[in-house]
Amino acid sequence: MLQVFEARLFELVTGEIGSELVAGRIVMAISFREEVLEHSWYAIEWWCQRRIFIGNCYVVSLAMKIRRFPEVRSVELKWKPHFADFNLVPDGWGGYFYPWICEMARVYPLLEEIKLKRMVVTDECLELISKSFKNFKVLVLSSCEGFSTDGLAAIAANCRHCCMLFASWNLRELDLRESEVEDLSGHWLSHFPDSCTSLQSLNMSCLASEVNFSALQRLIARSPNLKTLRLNRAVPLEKLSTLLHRAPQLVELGTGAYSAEIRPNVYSNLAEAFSRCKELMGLSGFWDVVPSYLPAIYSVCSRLTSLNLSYATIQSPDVTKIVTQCPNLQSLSVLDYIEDAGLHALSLSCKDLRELRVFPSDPFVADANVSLTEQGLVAVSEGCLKLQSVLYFCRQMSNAALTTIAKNRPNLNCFRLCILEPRAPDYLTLEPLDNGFGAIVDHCKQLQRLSLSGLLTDLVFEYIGNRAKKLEMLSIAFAGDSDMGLHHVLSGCDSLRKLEIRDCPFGDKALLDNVSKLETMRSLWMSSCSVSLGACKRLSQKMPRLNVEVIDEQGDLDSRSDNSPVEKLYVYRTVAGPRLDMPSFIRNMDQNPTCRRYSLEKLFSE
Amino acid sequence: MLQWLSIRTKGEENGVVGWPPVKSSRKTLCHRGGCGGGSKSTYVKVQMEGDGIARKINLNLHHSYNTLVHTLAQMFGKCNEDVKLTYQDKEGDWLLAGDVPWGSFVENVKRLKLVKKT
Repeated sequence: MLQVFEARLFELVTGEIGSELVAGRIVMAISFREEVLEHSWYAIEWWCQRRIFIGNCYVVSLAMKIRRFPEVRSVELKWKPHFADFNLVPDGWGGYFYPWICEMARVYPLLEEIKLKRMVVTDECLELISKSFKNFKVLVLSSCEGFSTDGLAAIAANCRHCCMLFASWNLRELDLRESEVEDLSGHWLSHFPDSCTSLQSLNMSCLASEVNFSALQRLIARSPNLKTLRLNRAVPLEKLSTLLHRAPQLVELGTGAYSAEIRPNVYSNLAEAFSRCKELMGLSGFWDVVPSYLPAIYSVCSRLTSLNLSYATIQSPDVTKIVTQCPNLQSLSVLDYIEDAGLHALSLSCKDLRELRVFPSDPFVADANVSLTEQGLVAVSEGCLKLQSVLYFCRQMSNAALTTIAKNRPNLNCFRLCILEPRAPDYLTLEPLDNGFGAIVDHCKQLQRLSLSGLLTDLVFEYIGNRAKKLEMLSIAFAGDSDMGLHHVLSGCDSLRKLEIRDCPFGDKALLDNVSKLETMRSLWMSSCSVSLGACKRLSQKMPRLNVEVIDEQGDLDSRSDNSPVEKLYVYRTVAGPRLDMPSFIRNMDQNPTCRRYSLEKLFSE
Repeated sequence: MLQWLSIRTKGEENGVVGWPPVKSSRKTLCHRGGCGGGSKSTYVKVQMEGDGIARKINLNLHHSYNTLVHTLAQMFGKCNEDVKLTYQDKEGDWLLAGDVPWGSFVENVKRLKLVKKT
């Protein structure tokens, strides 16, 4: 048992942060820095005590986690299912950070970092964070919600009482990426006291309202270590040069709205300010771009490794002009305004490209508003030899194109294709796209993440089950013919950790034939499929270490027959039994929860 | 197209929830008129109190009262702290700008007037 356990630990040690349930024991996440030289069990245990990552918050109960590791410096929690990003998870589902922070405040005095993803974080949580940890340095709230700018003011201000005791305030990073924040006022920024000089990273791009500009300016001016600054849309372009003058050391910049009335002095100030930023390697922001102001960034283009123009509603010639000046580009996010022509130019200019993401400018319109097709992606797959990660929204695809892409780029590790119309066939042959995706999983042997779309039969899942042995995350929508599709995936994909499915005819048989597989995975999401309530109950009976949650907003789950289909199903492994924060429209299928709850002692003595 | 769906939940424009899988921050981008071919123009007349000459400003270049007032003040050679922005809405009433959310303001504004703060 111990050898298996150690072998898995080694896997984690060399790779990503993650948490695994191995033979009933939780393996803590490990992030290895230069200091760790040994991979011995004791070294790992020591590191475990410093940093905790929990990929699914309900895997362990609070008490267990807290008791084991009092020396914790860093906590990273991910909560809601990924499909919450697309409004498939109803409000009130759960994911409240408050109980966690109450416990942490009590027992983790040395906590320095909190990173949360898809959680409900209230102002009370933020206030508690601000008061509880004297060494607190890093707060990252990714796709979170439930807090307002008042809570941010508490974070900013908290050094006020700390400063009385300590020499300087140590907040290093405040990153609110894509969170939903209730914007009560822009004055929260003014709460950073003058003694706060340690800021290295500030990401407020998700905030809607205007912050107090002079407070922002002063904060930036007294933060010599500021490397990342992502402004929000409300910061006017005319003022950007003022900020850049005070932070020429920036490595990553997110602009505010990139528009202003055309005035020569504004342009020249901006161009000059950019030219002073000799360390700048990443640019983002670019809402509302006025193309005449784009040349102001040309002086930094040759250095750029990362460029996010996915909010820039500029046409193909303007986008192309920028990207072709960035020979060192590794990561590009754009709207489909770039069109095939722009992608072709990209493939010739950006030979170091690793990641490409193309978003739809008008996703709800059936007819193409831009000339972007599968050809653009084919061109990039031909010209960019280091391309590893793709996210591509388009309106047409063919098996031939997918096969070409697969043969060109066997080094792909992430391939997410979204053909906008559900069940769209190969536009040339009108056949399903089974063979095309089959080629992808056949050639790209390191593929870890795959998102499918278009017309697909059970055959594609047979290919995936047979070939995609390194696949860890799979997203399926409007695909397949029968249970066999799901069966192929569950029985074949050895490395599968996360599976999310919507609107597919997958049902009871595949699920119940593969119950033990589910305990090796982090989670399974199925919505609008053909799974019955009875099957969910049977699944829960067979697998006591799984939480089988049925979400049904129609109400009356208790009076439904076992034959009735469930709206949404979320299954994940746990050692803590049913969670306690479920709303009325979610039911755990566990018939005997108290008998099945595992005790801490039993778990760690195995 | 949706024959598998036994239960239909309320959705967006095409009736399917969460499809295409685009985050809300991106959908807002499209609805703000950023799509369909570059930035459109919404020009409104703006006057400065005491100044006979009217100017025009493209509201689509702005997304907050702050940037708008700042630009207008500069346009008339004033400091933005010395002026207040008023506007005439579709019903002909003159109102103080800033009370309603930006989106509603843009939809209802007919003309603008900068007045000096007393």
